Parts: sequence; structure tokens; C-alpha cells
Amino acid sequence: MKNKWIIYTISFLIVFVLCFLIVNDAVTPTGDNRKDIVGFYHEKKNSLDVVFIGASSTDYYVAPMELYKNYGITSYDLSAGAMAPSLTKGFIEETLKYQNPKLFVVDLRTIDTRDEDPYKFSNQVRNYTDFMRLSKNRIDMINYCYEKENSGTPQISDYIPYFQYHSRVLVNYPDWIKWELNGRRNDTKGFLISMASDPQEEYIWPSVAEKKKLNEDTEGILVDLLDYCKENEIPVIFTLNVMAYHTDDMIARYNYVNELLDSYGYAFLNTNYCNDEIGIDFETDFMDANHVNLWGALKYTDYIGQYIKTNYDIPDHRGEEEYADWDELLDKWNEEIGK
Amino acid sequence: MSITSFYFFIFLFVIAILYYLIPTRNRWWVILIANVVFFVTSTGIGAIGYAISAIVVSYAGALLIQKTDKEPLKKLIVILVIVILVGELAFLKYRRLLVTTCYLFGIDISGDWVQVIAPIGMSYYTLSILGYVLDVYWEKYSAETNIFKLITYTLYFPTLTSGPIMRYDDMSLKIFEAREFQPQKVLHGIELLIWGLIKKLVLADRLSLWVSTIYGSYSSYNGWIILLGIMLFSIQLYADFSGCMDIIMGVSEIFGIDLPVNFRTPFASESVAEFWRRWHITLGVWFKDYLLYPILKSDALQALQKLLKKRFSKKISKKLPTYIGLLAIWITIGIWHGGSYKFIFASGIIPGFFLILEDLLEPVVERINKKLSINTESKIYHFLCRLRTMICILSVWVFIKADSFRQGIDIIKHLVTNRQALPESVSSLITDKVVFTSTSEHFINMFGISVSLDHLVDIFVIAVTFIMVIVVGIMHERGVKIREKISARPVCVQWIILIVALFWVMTFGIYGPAFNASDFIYKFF
Repeated sequence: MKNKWIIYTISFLIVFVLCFLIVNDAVTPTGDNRKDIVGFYHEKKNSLDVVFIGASSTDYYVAPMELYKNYGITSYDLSAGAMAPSLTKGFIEETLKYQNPKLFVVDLRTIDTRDEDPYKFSNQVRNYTDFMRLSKNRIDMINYCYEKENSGTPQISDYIPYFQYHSRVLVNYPDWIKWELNGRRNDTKGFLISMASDPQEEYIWPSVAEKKKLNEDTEGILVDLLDYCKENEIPVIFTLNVMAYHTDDMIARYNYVNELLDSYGYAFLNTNYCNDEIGIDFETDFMDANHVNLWGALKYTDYIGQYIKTNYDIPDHRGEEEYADWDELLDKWNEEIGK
Repeated sequence: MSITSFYFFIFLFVIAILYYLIPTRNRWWVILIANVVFFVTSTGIGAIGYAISAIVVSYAGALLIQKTDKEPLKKLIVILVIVILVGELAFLKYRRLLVTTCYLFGIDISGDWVQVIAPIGMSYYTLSILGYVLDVYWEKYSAETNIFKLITYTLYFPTLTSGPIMRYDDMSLKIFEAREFQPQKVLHGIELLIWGLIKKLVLADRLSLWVSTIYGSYSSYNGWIILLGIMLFSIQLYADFSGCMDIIMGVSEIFGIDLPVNFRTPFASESVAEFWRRWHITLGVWFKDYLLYPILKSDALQALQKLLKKRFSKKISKKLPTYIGLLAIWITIGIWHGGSYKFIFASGIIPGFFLILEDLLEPVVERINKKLSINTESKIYHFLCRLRTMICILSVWVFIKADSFRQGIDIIKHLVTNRQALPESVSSLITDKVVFTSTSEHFINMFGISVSLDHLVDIFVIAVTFIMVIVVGIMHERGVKIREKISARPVCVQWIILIVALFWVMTFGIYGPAFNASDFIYKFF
């Protein structure tokens, strides 16, 4: 009799947990952030050679399908708008669970933002961790980022998104179904297409010698990341993607960052000094002062592709049978960008 | 610690595991520890001094009463215990009322002493332990010699939030008896707990947002909307209180301890008297046993009865003292409900008045029914009686939700006089009422009114849950034992019901970071 109840209870709990996982998935918002992050999990294991990590300064800048088309490089934008810099280390760790990339490209745009305002990302952590697979790394990331981004103490709902979004089920359902039917793939590999255009004034970043030390918290986040990459021998380059504005403090901070990265032996590619090489047209290539649009992104992608091909040994997978799915996606990509 | 919080369920799980691991004879020690932990985490360690002092006074008082042979001394001890317990309750609960009253006479006695926090459940455990002392005085049973058992009974943690008010002879048997683990009972307890959560978190808390919107701007709404607000509040109050009771009883049942029933489908009542016999049953019974009967048996009222019998009729000599007793207990009930004049009137004087009026008019109604040959067994007659009862109850409850008695009068005034166009009022209500999710892009046009998907989902969930509550109420009224019927079904059917119920409350309940912790209305009494 006792055994019957034990079996009954355990069986019920298993069924309940399975149902819970499905419903948890159904209520979580199906926006761009989720599609970017979940799409990454649906890439074939160990198929990506380059992973780009950053905020919208990666999302709108690097078009992986274009990289594949022109250079045969398989890559993914594991990025999302306003992604807190403290999440970077965790996302590299998460990547290494499923992929074995030959290179990480990490954009440091948010370092300046965070240094300017230590509370800027305090409400942003869950906008990314909510969409990750349940794992110890996810829990560690939540705990780490809440502490580093001054977000207070994590609540139950931060670990189990269901308790945050539970009332959304009927509202979120149609988007979730549509996304499920598409197999959760992200056909642009995390890249966000923007056709908006906001002409900017011709902009040249001045060369400034001054260095401004980062505040203790921000530097702490960057140092944690660099120490992690060094200890684990992770191949990484750091970038600062083109903008149509600057402040003197910003330039001084990145000069300091450059020095710090140099001390670890890592390259820092500040593409704001490479407008001519990239071929940026301030009149047509920006959607706002902070982000390029599709036309700017295609130029930028070409530039970064050339840089990677020249400096790193990344294979060309075009035409390979294993990567036939990438070739198949190219037609859709070309149609998407109107070529 | 709220009994609908995640931490409470973790606490409950741990306590239940410990309870059933410990040998049966000593299991009540686990309840004692759970009581202290719950009490301290709910009110803070400072407040436990009030509870312990009340229990020590009652423990010592009951033992002394039992030891003493002299009746005057026994009486003195009882009076002393009553004065201390009621005094402590009055000080902590009514100090603000005292300040307000003095202020009306131009006397300012406010100060830091007003900020003292009353311990959780004080209104409930004071009555429970007062009843224990009076029962010992009336020699119903012997005094408890183990003070830890008395603490376990008095601060029984499931009942601290909103009752029910316990009787020592009944509860001591259940809490302290050695009992084997009964899995079916534990399952039934969990089912009742889930049902309580559905009523509280889904129905009551969703309704509270609509009710607060209407009450918050009642002067700008059409009278029909105000009436809707009053009716929705009555459903909210019932769902909140009875939902709380179901959670408490379910929690207690997990430990194999059955608590006294506190609600019996009150909206099925056909008279005000019947309503108050079905609503907050243990409170009504406590006041009847410990206040009304002693008042009626008192020398003063017995003397009055004799006098009235001489001067008037036998009927008047019986009725008038009863009415005096009723008014006395209803005023006390009003005072017990809250330290403000609003509760003294709305929870006390007015319901007492309706009870007396109903009794006075009963012969008149009987004569009318006879004269008009009304079939008092017909369904329509029963329905009209229920409707009449609801109107009486709602007319009182409009004050419960209002900020003050004066505001309650104002709401009734606006209910009768407000003539804004109904479609505009409905549109305003929908615009004013808070949404849970950002669904500004999902709007549907219904009868010329733009309604967001969020609101439609909310109304749908409230309607479905309300229908479930009515159906369950009807089944209870017909004597159907629902949980036993579920247990008799195949396992897969039981699981489907359990999973649907769990997800109904987990999905549509009002909880989580977007909402404040939903406190029970009756926790504040």
C-alpha cells in the first residue's frame, strides 16, 4: 500500500514537471531576444567557427549569412539589445557547451555605457537569462550578473521564468505556436535586419591620447572576463563597432580598455577608426547614431569577414555536404535582403 | 509569511516531512516548532511576547480555577484573565480608534505608543484561549497541565491568519492524538489547498482589481457600474475568506487534523439569520456560546424578563431580552472586526439590526404569504428569499470596502443618482483598470467599446472560475463529497483534474513580481 502511494506520487511529479516545462516554455515571451538565444541552441553541434557576442552593436552589425556567402565562415550572433557586459563570460561558457568555435568576437560597446551609469543594466539581466536552457551555468550567470549589475537579490521568478510570465499564456500563445512550427530556427543566425535610415553627419573619431580608468565595478567585470578567457585559452578578439557619435570620456575609456586588453595579449579592434576601409556612408548606412542599418551591416560584415580571414585560420565551408543546410538558407537570405 | 507565498509552501513541505518522520506520540512537537517559526517570520520576534504572556496568564488562570473550591475566587480569577486578555487585545487593536475618538473631543493622545505592532492572529487566538479558560471555569473539561501543549493549540499556525476559532476540547484530541500516516487524507488536504488557492489567487485577487477601480473613482461611474462594483466585492470577499479557509483546512488536513467548518455556501441562505449561521460559523458560534448565552442567563436580563412578563406578554418578555443580547453581541462582533467606526456599524450594528428586524417582521411576512396564497415551497419563492437576503447583506458590505462609513453613504448616494451614459462608463472602467501584460497592440471592438485582449482574458478567467465556484457550491449543498468522488475515478482522471487545477491557479493566479503579495482581507481583523 505504502509502495503504491510512493509510485503514485513520483509518477505524478514526473508528469507534472514535464507539463510544467512545456507551459514554462509557452508563456515565456517570444521576442527577438528569445529568438536570438534559442536559435543558437538549434544550431548543429560544433558547426560554428565564429561566435559574435555583444549587445545591439552586434545584433545589427554582423550578418552571419553574409559571412557564409562571401567567406564560407559559419557564425552566429549570440547577442541581444542592451545586453549587460557581465553576461558575456556566461555566454562564452554556454557556447562552449554546444560549440567549439575557433574564434569569439566580443563587442565592448556596453562597457562605456555601464561605466557611465552602474545601474543602467540592473533591470536587464532576465531579458537574456530567461531564454537560456535550464542549467547550472544559467543559475551562476543570474547570481553573478545580479551582483555585478546592482540588481538586488534574485527572486524565484528570475530562476523560473514561469512565475514572471504566467499570466501571459493566452496572449503569448499565437506567437509561440508560430515559432514552434518554424522549428525554433533563427534563419538570420541572430542578425536583426533594419531597413530604417537616419542620415548622420560625416563623423571622424578623433585620436585622443588621454586614458580614463574604468570604475572599479566595470573594470572588475572586464577583468573577470579576461581572466576566464586567459585561463581557458579562449581565442577571442574584442571590438568596438562603428557609431556616429562619441564623447571624450568614451574615447579615453576605450584607450584604457585597449591598454588593459594589451596586457592580456588580446587584440582590440576599434572600427570607429576604420570608416574608410569599411566604406561607411554616414548618409545612408545608419538607422540612428548608435546603429548601422542593413546597408551599413553588409559593409561591416564584409570588413570583419576579411579581417578574420586574413588573421585567423577559419575554414571555408561553402559547398561542403555537412553544411548543406547553410547553402539552402542562402536563397532565403538573399530574398530577405533583396539581392 | 503569507500562506499563499512560495516560501510558505517550502515551509509546509519541510514541516510535513518532519511531522511524518517523527514517532506518532511526539509529532505535536513538530507542530509547536512550526507554530513558533511561522509566528516569528510573520510578525517578528518582538511580538511573540504578547502571545506568550496571554498563554501564560490563561494557563495559570485555568489551573488556579481548577484548584480553587471557592466560587467567588474562581469568578475573580476568570474576570482577571478576561480583563488581561481582552485588555491586551483592545490596546493593540484599538489604540488608533481611541486616538481618533479622543481627537473628536479635542484631546490629542497620539505618540510612539500608537506604532506598536499587534501579533498575527491575535484576534483569533485570543478568542480561542478565552474560550478555553471559560470552558474550564464551567467545568466542561480539565485544565491543561502541559503549557507547551497549550501553546501548540493557541498558536496553531494554519489558523493564525484568519481562523477558524478553535475549541480546546475538540482540537486537543486532534492535534495531540497519535495518528498513522494516511496518504489519502494528505492528498485530500492538498486538493482542498489547491481549491482554496484558486478561489483566493484567481477569483478574489482578480476581482479586487476591478473592485478597487470602481471604488477608487465611483463618483465618475454610472450607478449600474457602482452596483456591479458592490456585487463584485461580495464575490471577492466570499472567495477571499472562504478560499483562505480552504487553504487553512487543506494545510491542516495534510497533518491529519480536521478543523471546524467555517463556511457552508452562505449565498444559498434564504434569510439573514441563516446567512450568519453559514458565514464565519466559528465566530458566530463562539459569540453565541461565550457572550450571548451568558448575557441571556445573567441576573440583569433574567430580572428584566420577569418584569416584562408581568407588564406585557410572554412573547415580549422572551423577545426583548433576546434582542438586547443580540445587539450586544453584534456590537462586540463589529468592534472585533476592526478598530474603526466603519466596522462597528457595518460588521456590527447594522447586521444586528437586520437580524432583529427580520425576526420582528416574520409574523407579518407569514400573514402576507397566507393572504396572497403564496406557495412558500416554490423555486421562485426560494429564489426571491435568497435575493432579499443578498440585498440586505450587500447593503452592509458596501461599507466594508469603503474607506469610511461616510464614504459608504456617499457611494450609495452615487449609486442612486449617477446617470452617466452606460457605454461611456464601461469604456472608462476598462481604460482605468490596470492591465497585467503589455498587450497594447491587441484590441477588439465590442459593442462600440475598445477592449484589450488582456481584459478579455481577465473577464473570461473570472467568469469560468466563478462558475466553478457556483457548481462546487451547489454540489456541496446537495451533500456531494467532491474529493471522495474524484478519488473514486481512475488514476489518470484524478491526475488530469489535479494538473488542470494546479495550472489554473499557477497560470491565472495573481502573484509574482508584477503584483504585490496578495494579503487576505480577514487577516486584518
